[in-house]
Amino acid sequence: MTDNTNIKMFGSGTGTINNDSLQQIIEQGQAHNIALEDIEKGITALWQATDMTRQADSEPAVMRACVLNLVICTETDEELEQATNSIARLTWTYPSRSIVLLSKPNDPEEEITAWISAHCQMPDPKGRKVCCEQITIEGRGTGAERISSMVLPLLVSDLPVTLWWRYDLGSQLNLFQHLFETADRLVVDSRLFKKPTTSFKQLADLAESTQHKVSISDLNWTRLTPWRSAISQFFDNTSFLPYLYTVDKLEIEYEAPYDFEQPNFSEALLLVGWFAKVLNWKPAFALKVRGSNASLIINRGGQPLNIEFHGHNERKDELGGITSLRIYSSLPNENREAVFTLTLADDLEHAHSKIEENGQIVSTFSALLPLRDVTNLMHEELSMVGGDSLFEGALVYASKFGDNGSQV
Amino acid sequence: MTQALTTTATHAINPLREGMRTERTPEPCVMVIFGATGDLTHRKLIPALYNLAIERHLPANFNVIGFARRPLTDEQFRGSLVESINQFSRRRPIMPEAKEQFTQTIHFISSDFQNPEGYQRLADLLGRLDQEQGTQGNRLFYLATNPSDYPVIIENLGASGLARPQKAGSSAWSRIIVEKPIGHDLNSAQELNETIAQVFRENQVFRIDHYLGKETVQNILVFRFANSIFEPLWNRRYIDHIQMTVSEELGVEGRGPYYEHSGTIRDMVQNHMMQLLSLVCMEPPINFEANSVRDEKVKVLRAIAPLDTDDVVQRTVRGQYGAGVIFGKPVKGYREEERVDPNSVTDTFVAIKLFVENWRWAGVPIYLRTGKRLPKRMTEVALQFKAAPHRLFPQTNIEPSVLTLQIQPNDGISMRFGAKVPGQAMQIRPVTMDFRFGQSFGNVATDAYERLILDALLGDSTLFARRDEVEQAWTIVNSITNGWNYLMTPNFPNYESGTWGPKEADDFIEKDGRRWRRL
Repeated sequence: MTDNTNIKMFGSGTGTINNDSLQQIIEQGQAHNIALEDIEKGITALWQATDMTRQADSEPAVMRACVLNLVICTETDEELEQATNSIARLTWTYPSRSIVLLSKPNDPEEEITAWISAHCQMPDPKGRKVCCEQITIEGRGTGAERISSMVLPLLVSDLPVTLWWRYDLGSQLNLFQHLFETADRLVVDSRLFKKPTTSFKQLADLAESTQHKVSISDLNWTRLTPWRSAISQFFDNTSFLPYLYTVDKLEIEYEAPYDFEQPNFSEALLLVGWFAKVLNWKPAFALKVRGSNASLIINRGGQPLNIEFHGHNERKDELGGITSLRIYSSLPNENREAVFTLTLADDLEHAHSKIEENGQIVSTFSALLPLRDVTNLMHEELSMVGGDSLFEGALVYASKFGDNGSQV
Repeated sequence: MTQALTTTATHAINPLREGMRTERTPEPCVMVIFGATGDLTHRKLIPALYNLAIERHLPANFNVIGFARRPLTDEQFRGSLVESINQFSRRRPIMPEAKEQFTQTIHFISSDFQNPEGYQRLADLLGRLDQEQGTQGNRLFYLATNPSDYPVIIENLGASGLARPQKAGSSAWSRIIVEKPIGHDLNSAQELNETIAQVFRENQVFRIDHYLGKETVQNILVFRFANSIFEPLWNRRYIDHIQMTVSEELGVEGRGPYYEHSGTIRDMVQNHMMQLLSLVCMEPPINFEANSVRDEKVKVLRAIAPLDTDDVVQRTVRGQYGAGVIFGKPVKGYREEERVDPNSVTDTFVAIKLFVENWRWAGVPIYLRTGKRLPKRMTEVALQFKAAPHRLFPQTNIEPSVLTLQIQPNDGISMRFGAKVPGQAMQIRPVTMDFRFGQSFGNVATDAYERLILDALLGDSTLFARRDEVEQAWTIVNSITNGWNYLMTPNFPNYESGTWGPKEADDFIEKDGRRWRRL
């Protein structure tokens, strides 16, 4: 059993684990401080002891499950808490060994500390409780530079490693490079990028440099899944399909900051990158930014195609999120022109779509476009086995839109 | 199946669909439900369509036409469907915004199934929807009526020209989903299939068996053919026998008249269990196209020789439940159920031993067991391995290794094998290694009808039974029911509700030196 295992209680000195503390780890998800060299041993002891937490033999045993290694980097206690909450929810679908690194290089103390905790779910009321482990490693002062060395020995063998990186690629370069070397998959969120086009370029280069052996995902691309699906629906009807090849203008509205802070166009840029990839549009002139508005000129088979980005100040919590899209297209030989509009509804769950042809509304429908938090987005990303070549193609285009122009 | 994910006509022509993560979207079309006021429509079909619509699996201009005898207006019909969604959808209650949008695409035609004028009105409405909604002449007909109405509906669809695309050379399609039961015996099944064949080509026909829409049933193919570790063991050399159990704790639940007519053998064995058996025993198909998979499945059924009367005596047991107690509650016997003959000789339990006489399975018995009012609801297929060829540990009794495919309720796969009990003595105890879908993939809400309707809209018939499969399954079942007709009916009721069937079922397997798994 685990009576003499060297596990420390959260924040306190070294102690011995007992049934009560095990109960707290398993039942309440509490984190327990543990000596670095004892992490693996402590986790083994934890799972051996899970049987002790059963009330009776008739109660189903606790099941440990693991389908991947998930490595998450954080810089503040608040980010650590968010990461922990996300892990707890992700374990429903993707039981994993989660290793969360908390890097505080500016902390006056110089130390590395670790905690272990468990996230347990009951998928079926009559079934077994499914648990998986979280290891949290905090590096303070110079300790922050060394925490990446903790990751490799703690990975569960033979399972894929997903690195969830929440910052621009240029920040904490050493740590990022160390972790990226061990990863099979990198997940970023370009909505958090301070310099999206620079980071897009770095991401595209990174994909190229690994010969696409490491899959790269962007949660901002994930946010576009329902938008792309709803846009595609316009052109499922074969009578509207020809308009797709003769687009004259694209207008995208997005949430911009209230004040004159730098807006983040990354989601909109990825959407245009997708159109460009699929419809073979080429960048013609670099993105021009004027406050929260911007414009871009694309070469569509020798014809200029104007793309306009308009910033809105409706919601603070979804900065960068697309709120509306309008596609203008014409078929001069047939004397037909159409406007395809997709607008996020006020309930933030749906989008209204409308097709106007020669000034007449010919079709309206509403599509499910639920507002999803990062954990929901991560769920979708983890459901993908392997890379998303369409994203990587869109990323290459998006990374080129800023060329020779102002950086956003 | 997997290939069909990317090869629909819609995807081929709309480049924006390429690489789309949201799964398949069919072409614009109209679904016509015959028997639109019935239980199946309200409990399964409309909730499934609503879920598909809300999750963006249906095309924007998808329309539904209900066709039934009751004199309802569009509005009355729509109102009743909203109630069904609120009651039976896994996404209930209906979202206010979606309510307006979804219900506006639903229409109703009140007509007798025999009346040609009703089909003319249907044709007119379909033509109007093609014009206004761009549904392009694509139709999916769903027979959700009493099976006795199938022939007249099919004949009228043929006579009205609705079974064929309206314009010559157009890419429009017309398909039909036929619910089970497909016939009551081989003759009636052949008769119905012939009626269908006079109007629809086989590639237009989708015979639905909702068992095949279950994730875990589909996973049998993945488990067998996507992993190289199991298939080498999947044959007579290593497998001692196979046990398939489909048990229900429920009784006939008000379906007395239907059950009196069918019994367990027709209700469960002819369709669900034969489908399971063919998936478990089939050879690897050359690819996952519908006909490749179904070719292999039907070969399994062809390799099962029909039973003669002696076989029926030796290799089948039938039962009927009497009163008993289930989960602490007293329950009635079958003969006391509502609208059931008090002297009924209908079977509510069947155990059968079958052999698949081919290179892979020759000599391996396959035991099927299914019944109502058994102790719990459970569907599983267990493959019991042969004992090790040499008894290295003679002092200890070693249980055979078993691989179990659990279909419901706890879908997953488990492997039982022997392990040494820690200590000085050499004791071997069976341990179980479990894989549960819920534990590795979470509880993903899936519904068999959603999956199968979507497949039919996309023209993927992999998970639907083909005519020859259905008729071959009937050939086997007919040989058993014919044998029973020559034999004396057992002294029904012969098992108590809440038990695992009649004692004869235990004797029947024990005389082979085997026993039913304790579930």
